[in-house]
Amino acid sequence: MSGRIIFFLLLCSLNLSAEQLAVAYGQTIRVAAPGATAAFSFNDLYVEVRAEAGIVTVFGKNAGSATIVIVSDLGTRTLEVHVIAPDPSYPPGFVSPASAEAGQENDSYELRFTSNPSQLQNIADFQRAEGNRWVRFHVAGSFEFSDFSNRSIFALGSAFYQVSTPARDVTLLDQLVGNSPLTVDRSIVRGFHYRQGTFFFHAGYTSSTTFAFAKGRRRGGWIPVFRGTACLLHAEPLLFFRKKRVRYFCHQRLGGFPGLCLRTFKEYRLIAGNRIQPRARRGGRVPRVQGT
Amino acid sequence: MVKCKLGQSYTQLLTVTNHTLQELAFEMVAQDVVVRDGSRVFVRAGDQTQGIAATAVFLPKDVTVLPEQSVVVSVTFTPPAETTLRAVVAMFRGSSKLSTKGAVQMTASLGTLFTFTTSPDFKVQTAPITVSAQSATSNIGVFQILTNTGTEPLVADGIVAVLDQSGVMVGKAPFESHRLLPGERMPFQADYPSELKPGRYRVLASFQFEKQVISDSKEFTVP
Repeated sequence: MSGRIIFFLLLCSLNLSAEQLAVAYGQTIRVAAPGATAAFSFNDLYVEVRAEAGIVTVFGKNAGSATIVIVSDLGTRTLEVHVIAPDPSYPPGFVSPASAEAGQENDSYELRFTSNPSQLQNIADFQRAEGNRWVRFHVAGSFEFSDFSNRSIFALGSAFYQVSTPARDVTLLDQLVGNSPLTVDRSIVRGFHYRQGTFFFHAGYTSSTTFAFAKGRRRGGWIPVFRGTACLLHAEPLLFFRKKRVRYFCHQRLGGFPGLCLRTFKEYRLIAGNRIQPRARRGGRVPRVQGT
Repeated sequence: MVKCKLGQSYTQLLTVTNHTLQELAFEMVAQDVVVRDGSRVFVRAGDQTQGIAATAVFLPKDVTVLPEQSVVVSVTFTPPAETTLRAVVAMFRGSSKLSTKGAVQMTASLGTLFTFTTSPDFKVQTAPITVSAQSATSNIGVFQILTNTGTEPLVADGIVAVLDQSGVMVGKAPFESHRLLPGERMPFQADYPSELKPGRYRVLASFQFEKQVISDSKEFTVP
């Protein structure tokens, strides 16, 4: 055992029945113990100790704790010794393996070129997990080398930045929205998207969407959508603006079973100022009313 | 060793694995461990006032284990609020007769001990040390009886150090670790590993339990 005193810490606490010592792993400390003639450890796996000429030498053999007893002419003295774990020691040139957190990161970049038409595509994806929290970023853009009439040279095909947890999602730019067949269903909406538990909110622009109540396919429009869920009453108001027209749709479900829903549906069209025209869904004749 | 409050339930999963070639059936039973005259006595559930075994709930109560298969049983104990008992045994009591070549048939049962600690009342009383003499065929042996005089179970282990006349340690030997239930008395024995030269010595027996250390010493002579 080396006689060099490396580390010494003696703690005395009123709450502790025994004195405490701390020694670094593989190091030796010396403690003055007047009259000490012998010393032994209850666990030689962690601490080795010996006493000589009033000096007790304590060697930290392995990280852990052990109780030592110092014997003197006056009696015995008990100390609790903590062997502090050493810092990792790596050989020269050692490269640390990837941590588990690093394994949760996944990044990729893809570059494509097509000759007909001459087009360059760039796709970048980044995602990282921090516990239950995920951060994702995606961008895909294309560049046309040959200009087509009435078309932009550069197009941003898809892009989003998303932070998601089990309770909340926040997405900027593109997200596939599947609200209901009556509103926005399986359409990519570019804008702002928020989900908190069962409540979600989408606000953005979609190039095309399908409304089940309407004949044909509506193209283009700014679509803010929000929905909440209650226990017995489920309501899905929808408000959207399309060009210069404002439409308000509302359908309600009473009870939690789709097959047993009582649903009412009305559509109002604002025409040239302040007149509102209600229209029945299935072609029924609805008298024109005066709006406010 | 469970640290809990009296009246509080504690659930543990027990797993039994059948490494024999035949199917084995077990009934789950619990027995209170009572200390009488310093020794443990196993008492059937319900026979002991304020017993813990009577509160045992096994799920399932009867199990059959196929060869090389394992079965998990859940057991829940609720020590009564006024009980002084601190130990109970949960047992897989076998009912299948094991095949043997002779006329003797036997069953196999397995049990596990649960102890409950509810307070920091740990006390141990030591009896005088006994040192067996060194002979041509044996080294010295050190014996000491420890009695748990507290209200809680504990596990004690110790070291015996042999000191010469000047107080310098010439060697040491460990005592085997034992669990002591409240009121239980048990001898601890350490066999010194080497031969001592003739002279006067002193043995120092130290025991540790629950962050406490107690020591006793005795002088002896090797002729």
